[in-house]
Amino acid sequence: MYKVHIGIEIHCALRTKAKMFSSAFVTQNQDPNTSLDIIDLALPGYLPTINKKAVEYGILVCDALHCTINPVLRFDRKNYAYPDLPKGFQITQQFYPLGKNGYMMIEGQKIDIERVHLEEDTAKMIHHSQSTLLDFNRCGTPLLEIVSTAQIHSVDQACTYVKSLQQKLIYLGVTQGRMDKGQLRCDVNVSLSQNPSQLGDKVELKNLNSISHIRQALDYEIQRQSLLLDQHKKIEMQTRRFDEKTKRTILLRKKETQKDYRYFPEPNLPVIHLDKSWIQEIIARRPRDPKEILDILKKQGIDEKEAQSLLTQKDLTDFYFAVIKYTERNKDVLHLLLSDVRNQMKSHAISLSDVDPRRFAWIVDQKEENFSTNRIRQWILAFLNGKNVEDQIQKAKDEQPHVSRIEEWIRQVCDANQQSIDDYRQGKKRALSYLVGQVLKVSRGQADPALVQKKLQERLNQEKEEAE
Amino acid sequence: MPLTRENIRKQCEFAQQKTQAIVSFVVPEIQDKGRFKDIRIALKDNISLKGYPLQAGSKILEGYQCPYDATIVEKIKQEGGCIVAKTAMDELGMGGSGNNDIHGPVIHPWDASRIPGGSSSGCAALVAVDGADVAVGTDTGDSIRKPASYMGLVGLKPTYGRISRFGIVPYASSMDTVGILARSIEQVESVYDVLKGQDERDLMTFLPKSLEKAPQKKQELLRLAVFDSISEDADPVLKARLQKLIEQLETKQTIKHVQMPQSLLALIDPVYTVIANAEACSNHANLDGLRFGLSSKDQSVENIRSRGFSWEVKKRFLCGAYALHKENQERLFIKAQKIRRKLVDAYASMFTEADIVFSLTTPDVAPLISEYKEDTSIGLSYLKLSNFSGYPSISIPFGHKEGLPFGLHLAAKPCREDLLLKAAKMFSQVIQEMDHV
Amino acid sequence: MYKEKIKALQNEVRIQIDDSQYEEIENELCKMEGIAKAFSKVDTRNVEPMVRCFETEAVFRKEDSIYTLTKEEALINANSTKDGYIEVSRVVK
Repeated sequence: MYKVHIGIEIHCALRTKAKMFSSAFVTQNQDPNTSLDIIDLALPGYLPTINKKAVEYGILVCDALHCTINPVLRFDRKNYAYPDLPKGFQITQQFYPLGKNGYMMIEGQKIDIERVHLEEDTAKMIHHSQSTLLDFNRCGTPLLEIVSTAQIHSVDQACTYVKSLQQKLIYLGVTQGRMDKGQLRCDVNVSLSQNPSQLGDKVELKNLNSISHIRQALDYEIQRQSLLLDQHKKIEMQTRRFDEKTKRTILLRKKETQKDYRYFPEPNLPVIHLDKSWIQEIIARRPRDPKEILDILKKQGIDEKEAQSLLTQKDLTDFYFAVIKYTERNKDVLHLLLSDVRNQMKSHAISLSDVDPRRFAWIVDQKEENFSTNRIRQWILAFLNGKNVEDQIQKAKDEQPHVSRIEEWIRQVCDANQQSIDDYRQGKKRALSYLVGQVLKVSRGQADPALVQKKLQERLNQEKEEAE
Repeated sequence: MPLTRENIRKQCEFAQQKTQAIVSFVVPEIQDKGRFKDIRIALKDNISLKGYPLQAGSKILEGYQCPYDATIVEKIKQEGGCIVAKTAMDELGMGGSGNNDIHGPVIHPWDASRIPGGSSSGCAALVAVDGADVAVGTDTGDSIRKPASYMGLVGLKPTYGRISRFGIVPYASSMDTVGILARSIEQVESVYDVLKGQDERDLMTFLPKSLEKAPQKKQELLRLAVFDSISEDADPVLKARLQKLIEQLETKQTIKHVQMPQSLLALIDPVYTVIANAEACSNHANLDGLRFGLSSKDQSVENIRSRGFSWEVKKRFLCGAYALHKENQERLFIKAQKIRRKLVDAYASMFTEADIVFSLTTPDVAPLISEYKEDTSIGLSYLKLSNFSGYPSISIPFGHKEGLPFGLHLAAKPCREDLLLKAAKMFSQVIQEMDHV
Repeated sequence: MYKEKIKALQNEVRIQIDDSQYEEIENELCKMEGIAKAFSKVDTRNVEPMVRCFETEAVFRKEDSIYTLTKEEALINANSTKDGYIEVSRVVK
């Protein structure tokens, strides 16, 4: 009945080493107030400087979102007072954003991206009943703001937009993109209209920490606004926050008048004319995006579903490509990654950056030695947990009887068990298991069961053919 | 007098009795090497000196102790300079009388009924009575050159961006310039040579290469021009002296006469008011008592800021914010910036056929405190053209009227401090010759 | 006439003014309007606003150029701290 118009504003924390206008480290999970430059506390006499890497990352994103890149870098002051903003203004790009007029394709539809610009993050506040605690570590972290126009018309599409953008940003290497850690923040504005070409008054939703929150918040808000409109009541422009317990949106503040931020150009930062060849170089060196990687995986013969599953985790994908440099068993590698490795990473908090892809590949290649998949898996798991598996593998190799030995045992058992062979020929499958068991007995458990089965079957089928 | 802690302390205390210029006595670090060894240096109290309080003349910074050194302080220390004091200033640099609510006024050493000039008042007064050899201050409109004129000193305001502002409390960022006061041109020059230079922490110190790579070929004769428009309303004694100087110079070379239209000159003060107040208001939004400075438990930021700033400063902040409001910005702040460019273009055109443009620094000697108001006469407001344009300028001792000093102002093109200082020495020579004729 | 504006300005700049001071501020704002009027008579067509003295050659900060205050230096001037945080009165959103 009502047309839904959704616009999304994303703040992406860039994973640079240093802050945007400050020389301190970008940090998470550190003692409070231990990564501060003079400007982060806005001590008297502070001056801003510009982080080159952050600009590079900005350019990568602008290019990935098909924006027109402004080669002239300009910064402005956004003046407002809040305890988490020590200077009393935020340095941002109001008048000349780094990129504009871009777009992203979501399920065949083009969603316009109004602007992409660089700015800085605020401090963290912890509120107690009588006081507020301030930690300025986060203050000054480079942020990229990405604003879409209100062309999204369904909750599904909104969620897909955020998810796709998140994946894109992660694969560009510019952010870790964890919504739960505040590395990717989402503000959504939503309005309803009866007249499809006319936008209603916007309501802004903040504090959406996950895709499911976005979905729940939008679902509730759309319903809330629909009810009001049904009753011919006016929707007031306002900001609401999402309450995850009740799954409702709650009024934060009304927007009676537009706030005046008194924007003006930052006098302490010069206008920078970016070298066009530098911009081109950055774009040329850009990492592959998920779609390109998907195509590569498909060409390698990998099933699309499995490929998509791999792509949901960039560290896993990166690791996959690192490993297959050293082995051709890419399908085996993939299966290991999607099952055991993924699970281990989760349960044991393992980081793949600590795992040597070359050694991983070597272990996978031991399949050559006729070791079973199961055994390979066990060694991989041990390896991930930091155990030295080379010795184990060497021992297994030494103990592993040669194929000819296995064939010898098989011949021995077959000679002594003609009845079972006849039973097998008559279709009694259990006879095969019996024969396998006999071979294992004779070999005193040294032979690998899977291999024995394989060789037995080969021999029996061969004899069958010869007999016919 | 040999440099010892005792001697320095005595000299400072003596100077303090006469001038009330010092807000913090600094424990002198006497070093035996470096280009600044044996030089006693005073710092305006808007310059960060690690371990010492800094108030910049404002109550809002009560209790603030610098945890770091300004770039220029690092340079001074590296060169063995002996920092002896932090000096008084008009609150946050916003004022030219040398008065201050928290420290009390700086006293003119030769006539306590007159203003010393500001805002680098403490700097100038201390150097004038030999409490220090050199002082480093800041000049946003005239704050080094005016007190230099009133107290018979050499006051250099270099090209904007020549000396790093890192660690210095700002006033109007697009005009703030670090400068030097001393009793001789040589002293000023030697300090300038060390303090100047690019600093990665102040991006405005990376001046356009086209300006820095100025032609270095030897220029024997400086082309001189006198800025006529601004001495029309000057005191007759000063005017006469200027005329005498011109005649003396004309015996050796032609002196051009340059002007700017009065209608344009009349815009200097309003343009300055709008831009400086707007930038200052934004710059000082960090002074809220939450992380440093004046505060007391459970007082709101509004309360603290209302207590912390003088009425004068509050007025300026309100006007500055007003000029930046959406509905006003185009016709106030941005328009002021456009007129600034017009003024600068007109100013620059005076230098097309002159290397040095000179004039009286101030239209009269230091005014009586009872008669002082933030003057809007062109004879004083023209000094702001140096800050609008960023061109370097210097005030040198010129003469006396009834025992009170007044200065001569020289200006040069950007990055041509070499010509400026050369001219200053030449003019000093001519002035001496004038008096011996 | 300016009462609303002055209230808004007070909020933005975060200072309090007594009623007795209103008139003076009003005068100041009138003066500002006077300045705007004088400005409007100046022809600035095709004149770019002058934001800085010079358009300087920019230098980016290198990734490895890191500077941090020690925790002591960071907190030494705070009126009140708690467990390494700077403590202020409860902030109302």
